[in-house]
Amino acid sequence: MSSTAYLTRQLERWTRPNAHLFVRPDWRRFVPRDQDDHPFALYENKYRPDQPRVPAGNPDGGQWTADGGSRSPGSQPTIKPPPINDPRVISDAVPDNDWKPGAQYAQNNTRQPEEWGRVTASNKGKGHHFVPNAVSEELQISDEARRVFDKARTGPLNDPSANWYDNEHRQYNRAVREELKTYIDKNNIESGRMTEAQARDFIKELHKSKNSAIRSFNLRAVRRHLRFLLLRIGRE
Amino acid sequence: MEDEDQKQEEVWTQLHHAVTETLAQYGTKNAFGEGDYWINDDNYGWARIQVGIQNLNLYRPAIVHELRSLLGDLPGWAITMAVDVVGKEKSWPLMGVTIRKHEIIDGLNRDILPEVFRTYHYADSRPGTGYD
Repeated sequence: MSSTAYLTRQLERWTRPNAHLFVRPDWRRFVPRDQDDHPFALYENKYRPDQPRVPAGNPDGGQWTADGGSRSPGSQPTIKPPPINDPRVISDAVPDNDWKPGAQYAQNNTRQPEEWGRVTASNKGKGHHFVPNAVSEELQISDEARRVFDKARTGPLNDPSANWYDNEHRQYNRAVREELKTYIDKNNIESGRMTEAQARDFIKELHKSKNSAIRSFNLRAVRRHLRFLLLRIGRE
Repeated sequence: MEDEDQKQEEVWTQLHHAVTETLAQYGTKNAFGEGDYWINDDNYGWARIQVGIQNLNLYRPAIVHELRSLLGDLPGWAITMAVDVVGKEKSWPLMGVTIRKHEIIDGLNRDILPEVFRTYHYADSRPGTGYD
């Protein structure tokens, strides 16, 4: 299998709505203690209550679809995933070329935790911050909330063969600043006293944001992180 | 692999600091396009420091060469200076300058830049794009 085909297959695998089913149940052994979710949680296409459905009369009528458009032929409908402790969460998170749905992979996995791209000590601080530090500084966010924002990042990104002169990050910064201001105003929060729980809640809102500058930038970043993970694992 | 990651982290941090100190002499850093430039503070794991430029005066050859001098011991690393002028996001193409130890890639489109900036010339440069 060529590397492109391999990556394509793995991207499809880890962005499918039920990707969490293929994460081994003991994934916590392999991630830093302060990491709240397994490494692939960012990529799974999760259900959103406001996601449009294919209109009635269509062969896929009633199924969830992409924003503002009909589902592409052959793609998977988005469904609400079961919780991570679901008993069906049985296989490991290490991609392999012979993957089969539902197979037990954990017993055969000999990869050591330190070999995982995301969790090496020197990689721990790398990645795209969903809430840029500059936003926290400008809005004088509390230290407690900043610690949450600092942890909310993708992990290292694959260096893409894209134009290095793109300027979308600055537009992302502005968009996130506006979202955070709105969140603070809406909830009557004093920014210097923003709590950890409020910071976590804001990050959840950010992931659901309909602002295209935020959505597209984050989607691109998490895809690049996923590519990083897959290529790193593929090299070892 | 761990050593590579550690080395990248160390170099990135040092170079980011050096670029920050250098550019602070010439303008104001602002992440929202409200200053003269912005340096991406996120380390993605790449051998590159990314700078967005709002004030085109920062493309002065003396500043570009000063930044290049920071790469003296760092072959393989780059500093990118992307044009990021507020209000020109859609009307101007993506362009900028990539600085490496051994070369400068001049990706500035002189036909679009205001006339005063069209005469900038970088020694040891070659034309190119953000893909080079």
